[in-house]
Amino acid sequence: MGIEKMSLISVEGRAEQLDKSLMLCCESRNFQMNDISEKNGSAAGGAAQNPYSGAYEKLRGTAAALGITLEFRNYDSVKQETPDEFERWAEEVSSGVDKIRAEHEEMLKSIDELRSTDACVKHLLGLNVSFRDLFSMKYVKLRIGRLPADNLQKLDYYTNRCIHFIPFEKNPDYVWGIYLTPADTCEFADSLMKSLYFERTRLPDYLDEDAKTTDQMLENIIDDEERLDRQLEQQMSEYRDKYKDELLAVMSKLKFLTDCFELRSMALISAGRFSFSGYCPTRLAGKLSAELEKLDSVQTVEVPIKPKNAPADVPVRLHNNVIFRPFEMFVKMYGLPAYNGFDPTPYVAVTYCLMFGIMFGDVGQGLLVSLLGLLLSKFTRNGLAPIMTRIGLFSAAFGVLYGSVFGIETIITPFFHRENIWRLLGYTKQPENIFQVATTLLIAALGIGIVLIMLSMLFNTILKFRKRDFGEALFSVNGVSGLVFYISLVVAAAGMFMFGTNLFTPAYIICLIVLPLVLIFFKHPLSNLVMGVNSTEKVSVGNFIIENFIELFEAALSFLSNTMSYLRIGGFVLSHAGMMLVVAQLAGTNTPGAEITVSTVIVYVIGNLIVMGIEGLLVGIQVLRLEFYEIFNRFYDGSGQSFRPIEINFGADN
Amino acid sequence: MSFSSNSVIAKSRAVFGRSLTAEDFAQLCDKKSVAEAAAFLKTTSRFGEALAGVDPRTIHRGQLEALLEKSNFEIFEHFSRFDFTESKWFFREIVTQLEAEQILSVIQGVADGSTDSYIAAVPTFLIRRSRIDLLELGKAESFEDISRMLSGTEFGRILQPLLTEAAAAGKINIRECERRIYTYYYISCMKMVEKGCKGAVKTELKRAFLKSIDMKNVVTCFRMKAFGYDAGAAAEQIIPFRYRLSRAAIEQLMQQPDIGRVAAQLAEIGFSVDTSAQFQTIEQLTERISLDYLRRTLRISRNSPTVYFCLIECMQIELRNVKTVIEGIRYGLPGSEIMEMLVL
Repeated sequence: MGIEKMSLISVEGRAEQLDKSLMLCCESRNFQMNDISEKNGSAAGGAAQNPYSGAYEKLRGTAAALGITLEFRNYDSVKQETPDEFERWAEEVSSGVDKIRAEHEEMLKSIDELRSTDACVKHLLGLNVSFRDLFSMKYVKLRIGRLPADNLQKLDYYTNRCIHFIPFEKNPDYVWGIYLTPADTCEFADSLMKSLYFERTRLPDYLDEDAKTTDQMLENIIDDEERLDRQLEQQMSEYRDKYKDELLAVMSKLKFLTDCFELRSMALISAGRFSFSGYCPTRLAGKLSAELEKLDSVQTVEVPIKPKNAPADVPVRLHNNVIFRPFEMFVKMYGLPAYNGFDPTPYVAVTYCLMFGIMFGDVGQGLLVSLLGLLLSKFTRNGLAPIMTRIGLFSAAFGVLYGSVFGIETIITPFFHRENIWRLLGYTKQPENIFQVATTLLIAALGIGIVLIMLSMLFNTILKFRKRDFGEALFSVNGVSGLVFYISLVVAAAGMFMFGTNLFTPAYIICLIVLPLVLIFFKHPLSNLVMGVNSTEKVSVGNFIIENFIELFEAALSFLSNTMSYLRIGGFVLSHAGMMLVVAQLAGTNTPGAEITVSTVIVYVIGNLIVMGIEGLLVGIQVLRLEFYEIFNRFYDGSGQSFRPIEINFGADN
Repeated sequence: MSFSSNSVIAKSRAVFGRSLTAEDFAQLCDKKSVAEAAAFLKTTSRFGEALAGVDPRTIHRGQLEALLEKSNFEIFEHFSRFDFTESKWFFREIVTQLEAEQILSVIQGVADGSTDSYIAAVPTFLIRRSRIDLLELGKAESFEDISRMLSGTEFGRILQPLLTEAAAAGKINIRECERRIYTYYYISCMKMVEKGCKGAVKTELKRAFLKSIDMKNVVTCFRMKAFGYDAGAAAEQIIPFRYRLSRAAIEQLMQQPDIGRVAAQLAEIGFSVDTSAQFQTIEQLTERISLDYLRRTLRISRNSPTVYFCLIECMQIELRNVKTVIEGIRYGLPGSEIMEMLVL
């Protein structure tokens, strides 16, 4: 559990075994290849042209034309092996599709043009003379089309140029109409109207009736063409049904071969031999090495990577049990831990569930969230779904403690109604509702915060010791000095305010409060001393004091603000109870003996859904904020690189 | 500063934020036809609204450019309705500048005998905001006609002697017309700055204006040198305001053999310019210098007139870039080559 141990596998063999070796590594889905060519400055393996890419690209275009979404299929049944065989098959399938597609595109273009002509004719419906008569005039020429509306006013200044424009319809941008001009000045008129951006519509010869009839004819022609186009689409659909499975299988195989060939660029080929290396989880490395060594002439060397002396480029893969695994998402969101670091996933899982449960405690709502998470996990791949399943259960558990079932607090007895508990908490009479134990709740929230801060500092100290960074471990704000300071302050404050014991004696203050602060203040020189480092950096005394004082002040302030930040845990318990009280009031069930009606149930259902939606989301975000800002900040350094095994998928090709 | 100053600043920055990015320009440059370019511009938040009603497949280049110009004009017009102080008087000056361009175009048309094309080319968005009847002006067939139509306007007063002289001689000194019109325009702008602003706001806005004038004068000097004129002739032709471009600087500028040397000289007299960069045209150099300053000022200035002025200039540079791309596409230039011509 935690960060998966990695091994470096070096593979070497005769050059003709390179593709098979790469395929095995791809199939394992657990091998991250190192780019040898980058280190050696040569990429002998990738110099050749990929023989499969032509066929693949052709089929990709065909799949896109057929509207097929690429997905991996088993390709055991695919008979094609050589690039030529793939090319031939791709040509055979694509040519049929290309023919239909070309006809379809031609048809669409024609429909588009007809529609555009019809749009113009529709604007001329007032024209009850046949186009045949108009276009066959000997001494007067006629043009139909549209003119930008702005330019209409300019035509008044060309009245002496024998152009007569008859507008039919107008919108803010264009005026549709016809212009008439004597045949002998037609060329000039056309040129002038063109300069006014008149867009001429040319009617096909067969449309020679009046505007209304022409419009009807055009509509009929468009209908016919659309029908033909639908037939083409039908043909395309049949083609798709016929070839889909085979196409996907062939493309899967081609994609595999294409990508494996591309991986050659990351290998080194020299003197007829290849070599490449990469990282593989140690628990799977033996199996992969054995598979590779089954290939003729291929040899492997497996080197387990120890965290202590790990190179900087070792990738990180988190490996947690099924309960904690969904919470890896939050850790990845912040940044993966370094290979020699610490995986906080279990810690995040426990603290997240606990804090969410406390803040959103309700049996009914919790179980509903859990059920919703379960359903979402089953039908979607949403990473939050399994987290919802888990936090919902914690919410239900704390709901039992608070005695809240969908906001109704009369079904289960809340903890503060038990006499031994309210007496233990120092109350002289039984609190009626959770608002009367608000102070205790807020103190408990602070307590949780203090424990979590201490734990985070402890983790940091241990991690720094493990990394042999003694300076940070001993003298940093989140190291031993900070921990001693914080615990001492908390213990003394608790003693004074809760038990009436004043621990702030001079010896206590000097040894446990001032001394840690002094150590933190002199962290840099002390660290250098402990680590035996001679610092070459020259800092003036004034600068040193100012910088360290500000750092110290900021650290002390952050202890206070971070602790207070946990008050929100208590705050949300009260807020949840308050919101459910509002729902109860709206439903009219907040008075004893209130009648339960259909409307009461409806208000309760809607109220619960709203509270769950708003508060569930808010609490989820707030807890995540506490995790990232108050907890991770103290010990976690998300500087790891993600493990990216080579694998074949259609990804961006879709 | 007016009550609406902060909102003018916020609105200017919001409009600037919608400008086309370098990535947008790279995509635009890769288009193969004007139709493709129009279709792309239609998808941008900057020009999408202006091109909403057009069909990119049938749009003409000139129409596309006119719509883009109209889009800029409408933004300025919208500002003038929204704010009654600086945006209002800036808008008046924008209209004046466009009117000046139209008058010069008509004079040029009469001089060339090509008056037909003027009316088709006149921007329709300007017609309803102009104090001159631009369409009537388009009917002018002679210099007397122009003189008559402009009588009673400031432009008429400035151009009257030249137009009268031209009516008699049959030809006109276009360069002098241009100088007089733009001198009038900039004098009116500077008066407006003097009258409309005070203290630090005035100083900052004047600096922005004068820098912009300096860059225009650099272009004039460089062009005049290309046509064989000397520093004296150039000094007479330039706009009579300066920020850093003194008479001595103009003389030196006229001696520079190429744009690279001009860039170096401008750097010497205090303009922030990357002398290692390659500039294809003098406009590219001056707009590069202007754009860096304008963008920086637009981001950091707290004075709404300056911010608004910078926005106007930036939008005009952006529009010129778009026109360059459209032109490049029409001539079938490779995208990378067009990109090199832009000022981004």
